[in-house]
Amino acid sequence: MPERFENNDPIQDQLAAYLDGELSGEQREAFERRLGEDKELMQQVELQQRIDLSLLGMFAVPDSVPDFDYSAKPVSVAPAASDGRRSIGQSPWFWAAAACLVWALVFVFYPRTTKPQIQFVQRPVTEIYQECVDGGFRPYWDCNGQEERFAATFKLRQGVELALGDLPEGCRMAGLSYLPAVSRDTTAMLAYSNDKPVILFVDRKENGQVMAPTSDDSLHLHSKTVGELILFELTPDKEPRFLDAIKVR
Amino acid sequence: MDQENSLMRLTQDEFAEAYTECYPRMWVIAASAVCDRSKADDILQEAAVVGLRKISQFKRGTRFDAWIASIVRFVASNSRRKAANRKTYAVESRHLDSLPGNNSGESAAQDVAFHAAGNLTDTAFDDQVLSALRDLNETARACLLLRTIHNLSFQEISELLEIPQGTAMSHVHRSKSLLRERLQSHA
Repeated sequence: MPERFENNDPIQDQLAAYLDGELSGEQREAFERRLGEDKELMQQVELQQRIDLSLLGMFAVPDSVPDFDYSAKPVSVAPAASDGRRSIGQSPWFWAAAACLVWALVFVFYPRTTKPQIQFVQRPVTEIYQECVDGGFRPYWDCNGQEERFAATFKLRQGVELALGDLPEGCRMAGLSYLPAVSRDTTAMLAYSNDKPVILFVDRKENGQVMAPTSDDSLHLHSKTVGELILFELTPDKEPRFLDAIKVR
Repeated sequence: MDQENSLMRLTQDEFAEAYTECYPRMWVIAASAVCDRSKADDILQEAAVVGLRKISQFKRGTRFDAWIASIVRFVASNSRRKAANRKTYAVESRHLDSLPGNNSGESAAQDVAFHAAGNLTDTAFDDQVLSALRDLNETARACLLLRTIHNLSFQEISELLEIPQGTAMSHVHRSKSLLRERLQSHA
C-alpha cells in the first residue's frame, strides 16, 4: 500500500471518514474533487468498495429466521456426571461411533453435488419498491461516471460485465443496491424517470423470475434478456426507458 | 419478592420474539466470531437455548440484544475452541486447488466449509478477503461486519458489543485499513 495511506498520514483520516460517509456535504465534495486528481487515492476508494462488495456477498444475512428449538439441551453447558461414573456423552467409544455414523451419512448417503441452500423467500417486487421509496430511495453507492466499478459489480455478482449506455432525456441513474428479488443475489439499479423512482433488477436467467405485482396500476413491470442475464424494469411508466441502455460489455 | 421477580422475567414467547427481532444482527456477530457463515445458525440455535436457560439473569428495560450478543459470542468462542482441538479435517480433493497455499489445516477446512455453504462467489479475491478477515481480532471483525453489512452507527455498535464508541470506530477504521493493505496486491 502506498506509504502515504499508512497510519499517521492525515489523508488516512479523511479517507476513513469518506468511506464511512462521515464527511459533510462540502467536505465530501472537496474530497471527491481530490479523488478526480489523485489516482492512488481513487484506487484506495475503489479497493475498499470492492472489499465491501465481497463482504456483503460472503456475509449476506439469510432472508428467513430459522425455527429455533428452545427445548433442546445446550451443548455449551456440560451435564453433571452422577455417582462419579462418566455419562455416555463422556465416553470416547460413544464419540467414535457417532463420528462413524456422521462419516457414513456425509460420504456415503449425502449426494456430493448437493450444496446446503440458504433459504430465500421471494416477495412481490412492488413491496420491495415501496420499501425502497419509503426508506429514501438511497442506493448503496452512486455509480455515475464509474464505468469500471459498474462493470466489476455485475461481473462479481452475476458473472457478466455490464455497461450503461446513453439514457433517454429525463432519465438518470442514482446508483446500485442489493435487493433480493429474483434470488438473494439480485443486483438492483435505482434510477429516476422524470423524477419518478424506477428500479431495475438484474439476475441470471436460470434463477427464474421476479414475483410480479398482483394488483398495482401505478407500477408496470417490463423485462428483457441480455445474454445470460434477465433484466426487469419496475416503473411508473407504461413503457420501459432503461432496459435498452443496459448492454453486455 | 418471588412474584415480583417472576413479573420482571421474560416469558418464553417474549424471549422468542425478541430473539427473532435481533436475529439479523446476531447472525452477523456469530458469523464474524467464527469467520464461517455455515456455522452461524448452529451457534444461534445454541445461544437461543443457553439464553432461555439464563433468562432470569436478564432484566426488563435493559438491552436484550446486547445481553444475547454476549451469549452468542460465548457460544461462538466454544465453537472456535472445539474446531481448534480437532486433529483431522475432511477436505474434498476438488477444493484443494482453490485453497490459499499458506493456510493452516484449520483455516483450510473453514474455507471449504465456507464455500460449501452456498457462498455467493468463489473468487480468489473473496478468498483473500476472508483470509485477511481472519487476521483481525474477533471484536474488530464484529465491528467491521456490523458496520458493513447492517450499516450500524458507531454508537449502535458500541451499545451492542458493550465497548466504547471510540473503540468501535477505531476498530472499523483500522480493520478497513488493514484489509486494504493486505489486499492491495490482489486487487
